[in-house]
Amino acid sequence: MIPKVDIKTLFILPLAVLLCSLPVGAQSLPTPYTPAQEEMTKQYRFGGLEDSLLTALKASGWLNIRVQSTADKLIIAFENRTYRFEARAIKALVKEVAPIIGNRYKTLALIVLNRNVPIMGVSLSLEAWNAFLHDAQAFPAFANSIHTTMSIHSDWQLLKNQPITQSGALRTEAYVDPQLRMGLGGYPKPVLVQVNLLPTANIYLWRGAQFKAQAIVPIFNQLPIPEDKLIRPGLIGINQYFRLPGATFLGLSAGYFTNYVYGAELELSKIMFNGRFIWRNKLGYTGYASFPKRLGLEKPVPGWQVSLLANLDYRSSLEYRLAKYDLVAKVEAGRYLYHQNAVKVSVVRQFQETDIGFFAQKSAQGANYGFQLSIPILSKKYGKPQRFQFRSSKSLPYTYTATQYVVEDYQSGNDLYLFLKKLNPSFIQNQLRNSLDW
Amino acid sequence: MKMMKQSIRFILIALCCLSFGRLVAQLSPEQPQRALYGNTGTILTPTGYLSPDGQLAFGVSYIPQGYTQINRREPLWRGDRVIYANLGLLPFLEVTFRLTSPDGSKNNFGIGDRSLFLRGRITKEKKILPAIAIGLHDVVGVVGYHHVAYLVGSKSVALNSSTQLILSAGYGAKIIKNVPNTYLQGFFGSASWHWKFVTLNAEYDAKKVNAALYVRVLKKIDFHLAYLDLKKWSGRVSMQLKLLK
Repeated sequence: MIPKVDIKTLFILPLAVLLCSLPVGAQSLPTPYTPAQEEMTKQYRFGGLEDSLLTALKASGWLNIRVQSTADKLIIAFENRTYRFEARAIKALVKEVAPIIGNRYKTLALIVLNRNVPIMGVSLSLEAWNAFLHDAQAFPAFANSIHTTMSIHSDWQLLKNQPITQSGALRTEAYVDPQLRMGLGGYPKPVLVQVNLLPTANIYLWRGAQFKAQAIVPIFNQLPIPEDKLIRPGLIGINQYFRLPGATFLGLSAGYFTNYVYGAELELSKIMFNGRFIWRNKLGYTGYASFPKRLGLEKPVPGWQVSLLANLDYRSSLEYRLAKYDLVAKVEAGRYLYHQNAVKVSVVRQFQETDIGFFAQKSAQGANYGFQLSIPILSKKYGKPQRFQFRSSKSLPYTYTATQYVVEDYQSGNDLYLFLKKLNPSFIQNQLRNSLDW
Repeated sequence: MKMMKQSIRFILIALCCLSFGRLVAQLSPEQPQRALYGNTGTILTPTGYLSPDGQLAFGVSYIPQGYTQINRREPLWRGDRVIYANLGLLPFLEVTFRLTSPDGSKNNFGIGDRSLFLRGRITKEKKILPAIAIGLHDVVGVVGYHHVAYLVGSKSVALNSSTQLILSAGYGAKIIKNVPNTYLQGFFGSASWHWKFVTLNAEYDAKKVNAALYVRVLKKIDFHLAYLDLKKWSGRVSMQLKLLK
């Protein structure tokens, strides 16, 4: 039995505190640049250089590009949909920009966007970069000049009203994700395998918004679930997120989620101490939905089977990142699907693009533990983004659970959490500083 | 027996050929060898060294009947297959996940015995100080066939530029009393002699004496041929990947 704590209080109280602690309105925040500095910025609008920079960045396939400069700093905001690994994308962009601007600026500041929403910033010394280009021994000085941060407000204030070059909106990205499921330990066959392909279309709408439509195509199935032999809908839904002041992200999702669930979900994440801590809260209002209709072990019947929206689920998690090892320890508690109250603890290490971790969970039904991994697959770089682009899948996730006491949960298509993990400032800093592979 | 001799001769000739192409690698405390159970060790005994940070190894080994930890009491059962994944999760922590299933039995034993081995570093090897590690095997699960807790130390001695001797000693005991395991109960020790691309192992695993030949090819693939109790052959093949570049 889990300890008798009023789990609603546990969830709602922190959510209320978090909401109340937010500064009111992004516009009311003071800009750190004085009018004189703003004027200097205009003075340094860099005419021909700006054009050649934008042309080069556009040709390389970066999206939502904005460029601005001050007396000694060049600021670029960009979105990557070309490279599988964000750290590699940042390196590629630096290598592309540095030769164009030469010695004109001392510092290069990058703001990494996702769906045109600023996520985090990277700054580095161009003087140190140029020294490193001529002498590999200068790498430590260059590495030490790299800084990453979630506090991008001052640079973003300069950039956000700049015209966007090569907008990432109204573009469709299609890919096929593999899915591996296994049923272990049963009788008479101890290992049952299910392999599905999930053809997926992501349509990037406006800032922060994305519509995702997915189908599940069974390729190989040994699991005794009749409907799993049929082609059926996967996740179909819309997701919108906003960056609020104070490195806080609010996400809203609605649609047909995974695990036979439809409804709406609200997610509020607060990034603290430059990404060392993340406080994440989720609230879902869902019902059951299935296509085709599921009839236990009987042959499924065509058509939708839908229940009323009646389930309220909520959970709150706090994660701590041990920056030195890119190790994330997380504690989560709340009410999951089917009114299951549970506590989960996990430790995951990010080995560059591979995630490997262990978890344990306890619910009223029983305890469970296991491991989870996510392996990068296929190509590291995709083609340049088009209006309709086909790319390969990014990773293959797999979770092993040791007992049958699974805490049922769903995914709503809000991939912001994954992005925050891949773009965590200390993680990106480690990838840029610890590798000579520039 | 004749076929066995021919096979060994073929393997040795192949290894000599590979060595000329610099395709084989010498083992070292920084790139330690793994035991038949998948964790870093000698043959069946562990050593004080850990898998390098971010190194993932997976492999399969074969333990003949009479030397496995699970006595299956089956007439057709010949031994156990061990499939494992070993990971340097942190610079000071190694994790091994193991699946042990029977070979030769027609009865259904389910998927097999799943176990988790954890090994942590206490000290890193210095000029005088040995590498010391603590191990905790098979503490979560149902039966605990491979359960043991131990402390082990290892010291390497460079005999010359191409030869290295690694000596290890430790003590193991159960901390969960009612488990059937008899593995590593008491004092154990091992010696590994690394010469260029060949490593020879000898050990006492608290019950018997074992010997082995170990080779790493292409810096990624390990071949381990062991002679358990100097009576029965056993072996392992594994591959390792660097997750951190």
